[in-house]
Amino acid sequence: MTNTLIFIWAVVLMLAFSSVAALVWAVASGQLGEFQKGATCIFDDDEPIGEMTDNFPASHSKSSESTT
Amino acid sequence: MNTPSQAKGPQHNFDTMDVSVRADIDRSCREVVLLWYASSVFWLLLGSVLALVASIKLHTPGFLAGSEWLTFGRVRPAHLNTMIYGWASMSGMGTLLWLMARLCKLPLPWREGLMIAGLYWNGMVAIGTWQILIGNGTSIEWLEFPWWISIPLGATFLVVIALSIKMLRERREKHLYVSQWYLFGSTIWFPFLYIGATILIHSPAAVGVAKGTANWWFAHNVLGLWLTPIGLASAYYFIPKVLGRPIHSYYLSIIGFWTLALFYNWAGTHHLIGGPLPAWLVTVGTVGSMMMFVPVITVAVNHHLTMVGNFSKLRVSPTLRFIVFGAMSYTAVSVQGSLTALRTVNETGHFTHYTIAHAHLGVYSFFTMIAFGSMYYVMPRLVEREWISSRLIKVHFWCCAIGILMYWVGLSIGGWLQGTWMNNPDIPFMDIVRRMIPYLWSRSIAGTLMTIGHFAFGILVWKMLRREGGWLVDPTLFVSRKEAAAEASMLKAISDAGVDE
Repeated sequence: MTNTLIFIWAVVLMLAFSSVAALVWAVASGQLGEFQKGATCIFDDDEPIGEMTDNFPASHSKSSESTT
Repeated sequence: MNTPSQAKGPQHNFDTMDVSVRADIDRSCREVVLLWYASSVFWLLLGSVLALVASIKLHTPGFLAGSEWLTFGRVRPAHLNTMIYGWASMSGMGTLLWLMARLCKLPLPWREGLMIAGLYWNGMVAIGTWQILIGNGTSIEWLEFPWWISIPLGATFLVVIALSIKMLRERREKHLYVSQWYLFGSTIWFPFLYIGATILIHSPAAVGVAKGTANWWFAHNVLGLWLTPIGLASAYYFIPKVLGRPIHSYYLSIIGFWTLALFYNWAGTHHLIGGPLPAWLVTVGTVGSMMMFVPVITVAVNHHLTMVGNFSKLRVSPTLRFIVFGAMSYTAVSVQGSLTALRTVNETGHFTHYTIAHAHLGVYSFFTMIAFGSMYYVMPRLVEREWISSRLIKVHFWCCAIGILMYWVGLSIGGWLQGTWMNNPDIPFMDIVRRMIPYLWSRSIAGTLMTIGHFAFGILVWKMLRREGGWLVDPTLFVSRKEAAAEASMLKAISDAGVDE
């Protein structure tokens, strides 16, 4: 086995180790415990579940005029 | 100019907390993300032109044959590197920074540093591309920049690692949304990969088989550990966010992340099937590729079940349209990739145009389409103006969508036939070359279509940066969401009735 292959394996194992370490941290710190809260954390009172936040722009210049 | 949105101001409106927090975070990202985005679009356009030159040369070899700068062996790697390090990485960085700020609920830190990093990155990609074109490329696929460009380019990632650790520690939202897992994954793994591979490949010790192994371990993981996590993070954020509907199964999304984290890194050696590697090393790559079915199926099921019942909304949202196209392509490219990693399939597909089709299905149909979708969502919120024309957005979408489908179908069929014929010793090689010409034409036509789409996008971005669109009322929300929604649906009804624009 050449030095290069040893280096590759070292980097591969380091990458794999970083994944395992992150998984251990996630379990220990309760990141994997609240799935429902997790799924909804990107919404808030202002952009709640049930409302779209993107459309084609055709109507926007009109709507900005009409709301003022 | 005194405008409605400035006059009202976000601070004293209803729902003030969420709106103003979000608006502050968007503003903190403005200059930095726009710089990375605008640069990425420049590289996209340059890369498209280089791609077309390379593609035309394959069926019309006399094209631009007088210029040594534009010979195939230079123009193709120049295309690849401007697209990966210019377009994909820079647009990915823009989206990554914006998503990290938004999901950590933190204003973007180190803005000046990130601006300088953006300019520096542009400079490195420019010098690297120039070096490839004057004939100083390394001929190591995906790492064609000379080593004295690769290493300073890779150094930028140290800033990115430090930044993501800082944001992770200081975040105000304690729960890490699934997109953040992917983003932190990409920022922490890819620098390892890039710096590791650069040092390895350019060290004098790297020769022969070891060099090839390092090369393909790296090249495959650029897609797997850099572009894929950013693309999936975007899909996991934007699909639910645009629809206003939480991801179907959050549990599955987390499983998908962890299985990707554990399996993707192993898959690279499937590129060397049939090569002079130890058989076990190739088998590791094949097994890793097959294991990728687990994250791919979880992501596919999850995105599909989130979308179910909402496919009609693809008509009203540009972001959703591009991102759903990209997410579906992710399933397609991954299933195809896992199957291609089988030795029996590889026997025919390897070293043919089939592989080129597959690579574009990944980087273009999946990643690039998602990057477009993300930019359609993010840029108006940064500039606080609307896109100038929905017609141009539609031109962009259809040119790219039809273009990439045509590209993939043409080269997959052509490449497969090419592989079958090349495995048959009775067919002279030159006959196969001639039989490929129609398929190569289909690629040039498809590429032209995509380039037209990119120029439409370039115009949209240019107008956006010049703030020529109407004032934005919707996303940063200076009017009530309910008003805006009612307004939008009313106007949509009018436009559906035929009063277009």
